[in-house]
Amino acid sequence: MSLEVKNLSKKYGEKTVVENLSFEMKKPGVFALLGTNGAGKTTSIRMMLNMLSRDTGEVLWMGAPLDTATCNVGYLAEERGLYPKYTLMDQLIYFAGLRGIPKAEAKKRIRYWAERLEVEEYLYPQAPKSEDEKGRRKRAKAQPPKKADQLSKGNQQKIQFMTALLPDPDLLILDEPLSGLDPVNTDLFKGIIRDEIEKGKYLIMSSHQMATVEEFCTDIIILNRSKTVLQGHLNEIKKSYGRINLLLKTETDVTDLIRQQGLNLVSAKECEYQIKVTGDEQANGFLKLLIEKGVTVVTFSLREPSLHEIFVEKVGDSHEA
Amino acid sequence: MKLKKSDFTGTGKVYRFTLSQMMKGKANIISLIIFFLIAAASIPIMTVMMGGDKAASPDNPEALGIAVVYVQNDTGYGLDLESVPQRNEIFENTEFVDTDLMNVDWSEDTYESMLQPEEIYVHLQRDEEKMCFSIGAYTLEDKEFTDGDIDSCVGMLSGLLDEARYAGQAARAEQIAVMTSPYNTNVQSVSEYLEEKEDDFDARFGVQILYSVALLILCTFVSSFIIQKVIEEKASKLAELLMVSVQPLALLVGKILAVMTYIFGLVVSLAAVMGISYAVTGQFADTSVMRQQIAASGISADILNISPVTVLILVVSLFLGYLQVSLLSGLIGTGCSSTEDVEPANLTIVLLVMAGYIAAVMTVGSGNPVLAYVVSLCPVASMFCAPVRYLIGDIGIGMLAFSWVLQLAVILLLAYVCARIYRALMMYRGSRMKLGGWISMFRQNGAKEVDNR
Repeated sequence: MSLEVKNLSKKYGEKTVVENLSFEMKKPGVFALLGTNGAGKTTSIRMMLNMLSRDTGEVLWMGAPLDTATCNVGYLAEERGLYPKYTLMDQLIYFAGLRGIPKAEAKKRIRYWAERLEVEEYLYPQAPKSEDEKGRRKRAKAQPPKKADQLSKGNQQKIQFMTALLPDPDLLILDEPLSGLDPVNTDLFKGIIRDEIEKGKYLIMSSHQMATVEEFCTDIIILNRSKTVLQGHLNEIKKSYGRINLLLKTETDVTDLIRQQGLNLVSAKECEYQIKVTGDEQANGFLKLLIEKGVTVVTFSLREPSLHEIFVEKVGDSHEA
Repeated sequence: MKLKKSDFTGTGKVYRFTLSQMMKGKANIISLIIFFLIAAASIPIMTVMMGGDKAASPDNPEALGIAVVYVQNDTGYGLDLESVPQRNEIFENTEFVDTDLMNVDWSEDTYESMLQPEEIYVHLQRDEEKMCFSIGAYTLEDKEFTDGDIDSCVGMLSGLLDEARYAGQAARAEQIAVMTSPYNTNVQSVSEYLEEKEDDFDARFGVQILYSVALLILCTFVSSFIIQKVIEEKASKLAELLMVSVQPLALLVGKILAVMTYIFGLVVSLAAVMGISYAVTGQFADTSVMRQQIAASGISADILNISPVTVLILVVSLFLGYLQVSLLSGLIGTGCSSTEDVEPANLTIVLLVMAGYIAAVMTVGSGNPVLAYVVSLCPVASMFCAPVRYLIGDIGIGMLAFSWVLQLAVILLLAYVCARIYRALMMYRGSRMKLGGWISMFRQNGAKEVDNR
């Protein structure tokens, strides 16, 4: 299986919103679609799923044009919604039915995902038990099935995530999956995403949370103002930048020494320094100098740039402009 | 862009879900209960209001509610009271008693002390001063039968008296039959006579009003339901989630069919409830008064040419009208993005439908054949006019068929517009789309999409 996106372009009038977007996923994994707000990520996803017409380009799944009717796709849209006044169970069975899952099977899957996403209490409300004045246990009136508008935003997001997972999709597209989640639920979602990767699924993820993208993604594409500004395998991209982040911790203050050497001091706090270097040579030279000066070095860590730094470098200037 | 079979994939699932949610909605359940109660109560209430609240014979619902008619005959002619039940079956449960055979004296002063609520006293006498016969009918204040029953009794007795008078002049039975046979009157203007057309304006107007009002109510319900359903999905931000799994046109068609099932099911259920109510009410009261009232207004099976074909014509016309309004409602509803837009969107449809309704009602009495053709063919007005104009004989089957073809063309055009721009409309976010926006979107083949990257 493979996913191939070729030369996707879209214009609204004279305004180009996506220009020649191309990428390929030859093997399962996570592909990150990154970009500033308004860069064209959501439009690209909508074009891939045939929700928007394309001016040019094609999307191939296993060599044939991607058709959501035949390709098992799960989609968590950026614009998330549920029917506010219908019961959650009815909605989930309906959404599963639209993906061709029979009712009985849908119920099984809903039960499984309700446990995984910790939303059983909303899908299977039970009558609370209580004791009367004589100490006898009695069951209170049965709870009515929950509706979407009775849930918190986070729990609604879990139900929406469930709708994307119910068809056990081969291709899972997640548009900002972790936005608005608390740390506990973020970890819950991450665990599920990790499981899907292990199952050999193809994931496309759009996110602003670079740390999360870095955690999962093997390949990335960065869009800026409708254009692709960076594309490739994440590790290779990082390697191409070299190790330019130096984290230094000493026992004495070396701020003056850093400045004397013309190094770019990013931050300094109680003898802990973040320094930008041009590469290994400059860093090693500085380490040698520190030793010569008799400075006790507690930590000396040379790292590649983070995705966040790469992103800011690629789109920061034009974004500010 | 052509309509493809795959455009309708998922219609069944959308249909079942929409219908089941409509049936589960509390507001709909309450409305249904209220409708059923009104339907069930309407028959007995109308029966009572029309004076049919007196007990009717279970065997013969048309039989009079009068148990005994005391006849005081001071005309000098003998009346054949025993033959009355054979002459007309409505008298089969009514006994005619000659007061001369009783041991009490009946008069206008004493009858109240002797009558029961289900009895009537009739005094036939010769008025020598005016040189005529007079028939006086007397009942108690709390009588248990209708005024129509009294008229029937008096009519029967006056007929008997006529026959007795002719027989008194030695007329033979055949001569009496000729002289007492009934006759019809027919008043026409010269133009109506030349057109060989009866003056049934009231009836025609009545039929047009009834059908138009029924269709108007249907259209108002339909547009409101469909717009609400479409906007509900857009306002709940479900469009993207749904469109991954189902074609946009299937989303609309599924809803249209679900609302159609709901509304037509509601109408059939209400008719069934009214039928049951009619049957039950008939056990306790004289429901025939309702038929008499309708007949009195000039609306009859003859005017409407009631037959299976008539029913088919009405069903097809309603179906075509329904599809036009529902597709239009779906399109206009999808051009809106929030629940605040429901009312103005609905108003647009209602105004359009009202225009058709007014055209239908205002032109029915004109008698101008050209006008009849125009309103029967003009879209929107035609769904109100064409079937009624055909049923009352203003247009022929050819013109009706042509009207249907035009309506079908409108439906196909709307479906084509839907197929072309509905996907883009579902993704559209913004203020309610105006006519210019529609045209622009159509020209760009649905490319006027939301720019919310």
